[in-house]
Amino acid sequence: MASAGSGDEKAAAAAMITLISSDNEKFEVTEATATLSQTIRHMIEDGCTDGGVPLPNVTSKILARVIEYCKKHATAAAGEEGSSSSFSDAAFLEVDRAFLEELEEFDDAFLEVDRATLFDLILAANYLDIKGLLNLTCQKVADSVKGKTPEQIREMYNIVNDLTPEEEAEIRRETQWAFE
Amino acid sequence: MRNPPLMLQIGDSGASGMAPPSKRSRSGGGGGALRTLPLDALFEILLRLTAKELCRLRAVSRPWRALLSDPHFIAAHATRHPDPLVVVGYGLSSGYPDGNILCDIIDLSGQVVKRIRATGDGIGEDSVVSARLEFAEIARGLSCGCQLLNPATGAVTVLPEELADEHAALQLDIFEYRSVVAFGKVASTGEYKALRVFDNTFDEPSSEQLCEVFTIDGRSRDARWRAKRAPPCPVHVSNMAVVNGIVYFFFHDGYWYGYVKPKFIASFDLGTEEWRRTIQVPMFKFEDSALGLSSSHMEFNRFSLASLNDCLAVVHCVYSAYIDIWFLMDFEKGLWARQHSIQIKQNAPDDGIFVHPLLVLNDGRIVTYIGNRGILRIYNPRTTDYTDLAVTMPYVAMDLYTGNLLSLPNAAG
Repeated sequence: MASAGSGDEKAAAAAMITLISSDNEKFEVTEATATLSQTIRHMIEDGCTDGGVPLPNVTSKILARVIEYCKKHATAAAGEEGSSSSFSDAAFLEVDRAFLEELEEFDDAFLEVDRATLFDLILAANYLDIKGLLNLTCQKVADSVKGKTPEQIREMYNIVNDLTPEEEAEIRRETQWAFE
Repeated sequence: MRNPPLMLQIGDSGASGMAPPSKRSRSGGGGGALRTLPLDALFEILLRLTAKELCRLRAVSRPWRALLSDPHFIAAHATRHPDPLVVVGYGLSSGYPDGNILCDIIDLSGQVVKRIRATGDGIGEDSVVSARLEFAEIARGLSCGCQLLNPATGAVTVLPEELADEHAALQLDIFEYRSVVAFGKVASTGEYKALRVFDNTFDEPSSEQLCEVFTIDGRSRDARWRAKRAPPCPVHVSNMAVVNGIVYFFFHDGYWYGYVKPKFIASFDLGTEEWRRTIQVPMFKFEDSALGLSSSHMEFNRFSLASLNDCLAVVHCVYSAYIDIWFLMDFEKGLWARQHSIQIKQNAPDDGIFVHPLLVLNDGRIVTYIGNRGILRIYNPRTTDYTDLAVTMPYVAMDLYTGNLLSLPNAAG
């Protein structure tokens, strides 16, 4: 089983996919990296990736970051699988822990971007259907919203308050406990 | 072109660091420097916040209010946050914490996620006597009146005090009686109904218990209790369990708290409004000594009924030794199975007698409530270890909360 898995891994590693950003920049990536995106995985399954995959919703700047994420997470996944057969349990756990720590550090550094880029990454992760990246980026925004008052949220995101004072009072009355 | 109604807008000016290159602007027009997150992404982000945060964020703007009150969002949020919540209700038997707190909803980390205070006439008078489904049952003072509070919305349904016409005609001195109310949801119709039993067997062992049913629909103001047949034999009213619209009691006969073993179980179907066939209790091993423990404690065994993971359970606590939990596997055949057993650690002998299980988790751990000490505790039956999640006040009412804290007063269902 394990050897068949790593054989597939090698075959996948050999196949390259070309991704084309909205500003027409071309990126060559391995199939293992590209298929972290469910959207691209389906395209590959349907056999419509010859001549490159145009991604009209993703700029080169964002696509470069997305590929960086996918590469790291694809290697991590492959590394974990590969290591399981060649180490003792204890050593495997050690390696596993090291991988996870490294991945966590990578994710933390990856999220060190301005808000506009973060939002673009969410849009790209949503469009490309990359679960891990969507989860990571959405959680980052959710954490920044936590504990904020409605006024602070409006200020943070330039949202115009279109509720009438009566409506706002009603919302507060309905769920007074949430404002305490 | 106006922006679509549901979106989170950001201004580029608000972004710190590098300014985006001008050629990457892909605005659909009209927005200028503003770019937007689609509803999908906002939906994904907000799903990760707690119900309390989200109730507050309804006040951000109309689009946010619309999204956060949307039934699809509320359902998705419940799916994403499946961890059980527990209602802790205060009252006359436990006393009240400072600030007229009537009940708290806490999560399994012991954190209060919602707090409800008594107001007006209810201060110092209202007690939460039980909690079930999405309601907390509140009694006021010593009256026969009963209110159902929906902790999510604050909506209160007042059940009438007056007896059903047939029972009023009997001209009994109802103050001699004590009453209990059980409520449940009828699976086939989705209706909520309450069963009320008046009991005077303590003073008059031969007196018949009075049974009444009330349909809780919140619409008809002049709705009344309806008289139903009395149970085939008097039931023990201080302990009952409601499972899928059926209310279960021990028969009074032969059952006297912990001293004598119960023999039979009566059940009332809130759907058909009839008493069902009587069934036998499980085959307990009745302990008549304290298992090597020299103790003057008379109450070695204690039996109680519980609604556990949508099943009827009989809980058999043996003083300072163990707790067995029996599940009713098949009502027709009267088939019971001892599904769980918890060993009591000797250092806390009093706990064993008042343990009430609330939920069996997927990993086999059991969330329990220790009544006399007001402790919410998780037992791990495999290791006999336990963890105390919350320590409240002795003799609070505690039960699982199965409502949705995001639901609103006007929302259907």
